[in-house]
Amino acid sequence: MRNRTPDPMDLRSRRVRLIVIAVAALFMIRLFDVQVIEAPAINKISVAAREVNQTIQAIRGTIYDSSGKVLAKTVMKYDVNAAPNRVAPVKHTTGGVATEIPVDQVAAQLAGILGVTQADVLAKISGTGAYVNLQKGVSIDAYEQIKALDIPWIWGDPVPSRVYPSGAVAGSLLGFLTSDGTAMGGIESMMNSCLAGVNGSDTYASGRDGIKIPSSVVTRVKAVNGKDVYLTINADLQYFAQQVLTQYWASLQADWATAVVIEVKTGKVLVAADAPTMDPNNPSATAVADRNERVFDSQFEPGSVIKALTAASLIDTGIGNPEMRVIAPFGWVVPGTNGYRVTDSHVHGNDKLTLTGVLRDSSNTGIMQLGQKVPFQTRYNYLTAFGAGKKTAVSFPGESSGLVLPAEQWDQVKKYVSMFGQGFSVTPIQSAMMYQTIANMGVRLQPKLIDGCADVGSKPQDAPIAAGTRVIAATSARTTIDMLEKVVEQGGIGRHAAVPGYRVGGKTGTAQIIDPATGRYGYLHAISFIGMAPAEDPQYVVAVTAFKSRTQSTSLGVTPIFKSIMQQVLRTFRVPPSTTKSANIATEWK
Amino acid sequence: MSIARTAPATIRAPRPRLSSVAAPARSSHAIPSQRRRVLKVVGLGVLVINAIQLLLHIGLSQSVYQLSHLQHERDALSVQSQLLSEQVDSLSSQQNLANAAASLGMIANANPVFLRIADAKVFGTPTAALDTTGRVAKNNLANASMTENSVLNIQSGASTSSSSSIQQPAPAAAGSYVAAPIATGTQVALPSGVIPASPTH
Repeated sequence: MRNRTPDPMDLRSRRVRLIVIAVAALFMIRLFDVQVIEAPAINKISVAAREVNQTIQAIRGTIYDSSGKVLAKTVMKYDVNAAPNRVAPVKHTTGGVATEIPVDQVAAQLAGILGVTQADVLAKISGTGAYVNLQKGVSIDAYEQIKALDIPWIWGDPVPSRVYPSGAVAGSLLGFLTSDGTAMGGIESMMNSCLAGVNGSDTYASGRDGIKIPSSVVTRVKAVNGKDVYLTINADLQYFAQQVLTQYWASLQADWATAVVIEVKTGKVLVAADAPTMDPNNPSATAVADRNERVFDSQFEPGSVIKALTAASLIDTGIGNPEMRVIAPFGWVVPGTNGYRVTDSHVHGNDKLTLTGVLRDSSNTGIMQLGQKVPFQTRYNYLTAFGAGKKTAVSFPGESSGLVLPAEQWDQVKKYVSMFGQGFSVTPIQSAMMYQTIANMGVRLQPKLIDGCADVGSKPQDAPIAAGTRVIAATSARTTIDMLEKVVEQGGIGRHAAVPGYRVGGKTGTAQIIDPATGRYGYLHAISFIGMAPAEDPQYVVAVTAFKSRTQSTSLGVTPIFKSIMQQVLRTFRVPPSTTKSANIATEWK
Repeated sequence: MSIARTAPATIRAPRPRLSSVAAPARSSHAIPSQRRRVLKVVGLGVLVINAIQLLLHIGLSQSVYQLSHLQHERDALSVQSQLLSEQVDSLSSQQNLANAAASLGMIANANPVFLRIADAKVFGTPTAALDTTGRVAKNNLANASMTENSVLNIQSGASTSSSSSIQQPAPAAAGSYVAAPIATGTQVALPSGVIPASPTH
């Protein structure tokens, strides 16, 4: 029956029930929406609001010299920023007394610390923005002073930056870092994979006060700090060498000058000095061309220092001996050429010299007449075996290989002038290592610049010295050293390189320089002196070069540098004075 | 068989009269006392665990704040340590030492002379340092990172106001950052009492 009237109470409760169910359904739908459908997006917003992501800066490794002195390290500097929209007088309460420092005065205080003018600071903080950078790379002590001012609208962001405590000492060798931390040249580039670390990060949820919420999950990626590099360089010697070199470079008015000190028995580079040198703390103060390490990247015709190699090849092949005779005129025409005449540097008559005398007087005419007795290909092979034309194992950034053309491309003139170091080019490190070969009794080692790369605080063990290559017999090397001693004992220029108390062997070099504009030799010279001491058992090789010396055109300009540095080297390593005399070799004949 | 036969004998008791029993009420009263005890223990346990958790949480939060405080302290200390080590590195730089030596009137002799103790032989000709040619009289090498604030120039009153050094209001405080000033006229002695020698070959 349909006409039954429903009970009004029953009807109302049913309506209420329906409404309740409808509302509940709505809630359920919304709940489902929030909990399931929109959940990921909402979660993301929520996490983002609480989550803090901190980068943990990896610290770049330190560079040490051989004695453990810090040459480069990373410290924290600060980018000092301000919020112009919050700039207001600074209120301090000390001992219950409130003071207010006006903005002008605060700006003056800041300017004083930052080394700028008050107007500069005021101009920067006058805007309405929330951020302005006042100065980048503020040192930690300056930043501490700023912090002490307690200015609420100033803050600093720490930025790791590189400091070179010894400044220009080995500056060009070290290279530098750009402001964004990119290694530019030198050891910084060469050892970048050792020095650089990997940044880490910390991710966690934090409360309103910035403190981590205890139960929140922390994702931590540990920062891996860079390793330390240990150089073979002795910073004190390096400083000394640079001091002397810079002084003479200035007085010679040379384009540049280099000095290298090699430990004969290990091939360790103890000094690699340049003048001018860059201060890596402030590379922009040095011209771009002068920021490179010229010991490795400059190449020039070495000149007469190569006569020692020509003499060594004469001895080693058995073709010559230290007292073999020659009549050396002032000028001599190279055979097989259209009258190409080579002269000696000073006018003289027909001198009756031995091979040793030829070295002593640095006679070009003499060395060519004697040297031609060794077949060209043999001489060429000796030259390359001594390391000409090949980069050293250091493979320094930008290192040059020197220029030695293949033997078949050498013309008749080159075949002869190469005997006194023209017609091909070498780097300062190459020529130093040629003398290391002679000093090390004929065994050529590779130069060693890096003692090791080690974790922080653990100095690397001395790696064994890589076996060298024998270039000439030990007896030939000994004879060559004996001859080189006569250069220092009797040579007109060579004797200025003598170190009192020690037997020293060495050779001068006054090389002509090709002018790239004309393709001919210019009037300025590259003057060099390379020598070793003590000659009875050579321990150290010192090689000095001044390029385009203007006030002195002979090696006389560099012998005092050689002498000073060699003296200091012998003193530093406490080498006892020589007790023996040099070999008795005739330099002239009648 | 034997069991079936003997069992009835043992329970030969007067058979109870059947009567209607009230259906068990669905109330807690009906739960046996043992079960009730279990519930009590569980309830108490939950309470205790919650209380401990709360306490732990409070403790934890506190240590988080303590940790943060200690981290700040560590940061402050590492700042100080960096400051000091930067200064030490800079003060021990060759340029600074050379300048300090020069300011004390020391001169590097470019012509050292050697003496062999065995036979008292002198190598070279002794020359007055000032007369020697080739003497490098000044510092030639730039060092933008150098701090010039050293014991030596503080003592001589020539403390520079270089912005790269720690500037303290009182000179005494600046001095205490570096080292105790050396009294004029007293001999400078190393802690070990000996002059360090380089390795002899």
